[in-house]
Amino acid sequence: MALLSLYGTIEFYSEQLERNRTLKDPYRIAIQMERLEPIRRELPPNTPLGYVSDVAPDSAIILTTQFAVAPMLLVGKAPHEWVLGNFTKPQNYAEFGRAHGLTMFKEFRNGVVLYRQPHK
Amino acid sequence: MMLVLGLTLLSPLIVGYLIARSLLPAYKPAWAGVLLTTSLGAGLGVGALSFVFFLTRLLVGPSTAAALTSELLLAGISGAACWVTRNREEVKIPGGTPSGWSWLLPAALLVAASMALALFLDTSAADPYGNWDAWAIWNLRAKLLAQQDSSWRNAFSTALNQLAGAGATHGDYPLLLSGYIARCWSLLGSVDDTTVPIAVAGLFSFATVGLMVGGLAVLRGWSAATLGGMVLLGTAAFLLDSSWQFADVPLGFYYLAVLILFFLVMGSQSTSGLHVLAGLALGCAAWTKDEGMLFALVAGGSFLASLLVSRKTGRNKTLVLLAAGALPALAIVLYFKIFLAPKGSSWGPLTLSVALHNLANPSRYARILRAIWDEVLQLGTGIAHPLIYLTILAICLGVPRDRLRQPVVVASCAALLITFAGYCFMYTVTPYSLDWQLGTSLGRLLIQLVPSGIFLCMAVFRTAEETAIQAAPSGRKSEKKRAAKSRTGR
Repeated sequence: MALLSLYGTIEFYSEQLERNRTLKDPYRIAIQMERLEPIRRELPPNTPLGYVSDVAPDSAIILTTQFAVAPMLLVGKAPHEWVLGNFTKPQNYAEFGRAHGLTMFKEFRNGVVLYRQPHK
Repeated sequence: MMLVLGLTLLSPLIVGYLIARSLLPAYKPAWAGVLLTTSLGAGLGVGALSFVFFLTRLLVGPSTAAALTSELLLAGISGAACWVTRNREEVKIPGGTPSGWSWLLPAALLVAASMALALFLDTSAADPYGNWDAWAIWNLRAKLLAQQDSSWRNAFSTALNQLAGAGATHGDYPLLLSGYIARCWSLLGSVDDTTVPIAVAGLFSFATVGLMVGGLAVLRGWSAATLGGMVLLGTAAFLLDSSWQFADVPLGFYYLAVLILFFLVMGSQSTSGLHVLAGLALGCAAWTKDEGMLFALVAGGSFLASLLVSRKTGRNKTLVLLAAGALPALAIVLYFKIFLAPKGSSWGPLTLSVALHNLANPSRYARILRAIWDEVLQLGTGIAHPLIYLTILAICLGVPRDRLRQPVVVASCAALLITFAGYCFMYTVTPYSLDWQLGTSLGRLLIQLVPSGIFLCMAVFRTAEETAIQAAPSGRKSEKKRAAKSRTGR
């Protein structure tokens, strides 16, 4: 039994080492942290943030974004002055914002844009 | 920075050791007692500091000075209690020490533990943020809890993860793991340090192995302890989940702690500290995850029933001491659930009509059974599977019937089975997609129960020493028969 168990540990050990080599950070959290770092530097940590994107809402994208901007909270209906634009493709971000009733405040690298709700 | 990090991570080990040492007897040989006290103390220390962190935030507010003062107070009280009330009772444990070739078994355990550690470090380096629930729930909430203003309450806000849909909002989950990580981050002054959640995941994974080995060594001797540790370290799913930074391995740790302490309570005549520790472990389980609240209720009830059946003396005192350990923790959990947690966050869409409709659907039961079968297969890799290890051990060592009938064994089995039945019931009634729910959680829920299941099997099986003693007289009898046959020439 001891040999079989040791075999199990060794078998899984080699399998997992291989997986670790090929599948590093599968949800790309580190990349999101780096992309969204300027937003965290721009606003106070307790700022509620709205969210707009050029892709349909996807829980993986929203949750990784939320983790990367935390402690700021991404909010839907709650009142908020600032809105995070999270884009997958370059485009006219100011125009995109206007179409959603937002004023572009600042454009960062890698499709990250900070908007402001003009009436608030 | 490294010094502060080291002190931050070391303090639960010290506080937990002092708490456990003041309430546990001194087991001999010392290695078993030290392993049990250190491993149990590590988990209980994390739990105690998580409670203190949350209570301080709630009563005083998010002040680092207040948090530090309350921690120093806890450390001082634990140290004084350890010095004054330290249990000096010495308990000799069964089984002796390994000799001759049997030293290979502890050596194999050390090899397996070293490989598990190397694997844990490699996986954590490749994936420092852990798996989905780590960054979507536990560490995200820790980042929020660590805030130095009123926004720390966002960790249990209705807005948490609202944009990601109903299945992703978990503001009502208990806060042991997130609270402890937040406590470390707030003392460090940074919520981006991945070392903290990695270290906490490592602490619970290896404390679970240590607790299994230490607990079995104290209860059944070194051979059962070594084999139990090897079965756990040979369980691929446990090794995989260890580095994910989820709350399931910590919850499995507290389940295991409760069962080991129940066994120790039922086997001791005078040691009252064990009851308090068992109560504290129950409270920690309830503060870790919702499943832990179910377990605390079920295990508490099963233990009560086993006390009544066993006709053990001092039952009232036992219950008072158990409650003394559990009630402060359970009171915090209930306060959080009733007054702070957002209502209907995790199970919001569940209504009575949905539940009844789902209960009446036979295809759901078939899907749940199939998923259980698939996930049980995935606990191991091929023939290297915990069920195969345990079957081999059951055949080779034997299972004494009188041990199966012991009230503590029946109560522990009932606690685990009813808890598992509770999980299956929630799958049956879930308002979310059943396949999604099973696919994203069943494997993790099994990992909560695996260490306790392995412990229970090893506690029930005859030990190698008992098997050897039983085999010796029958071996001598057959030798005598052979000698008689040769004398008579038949």
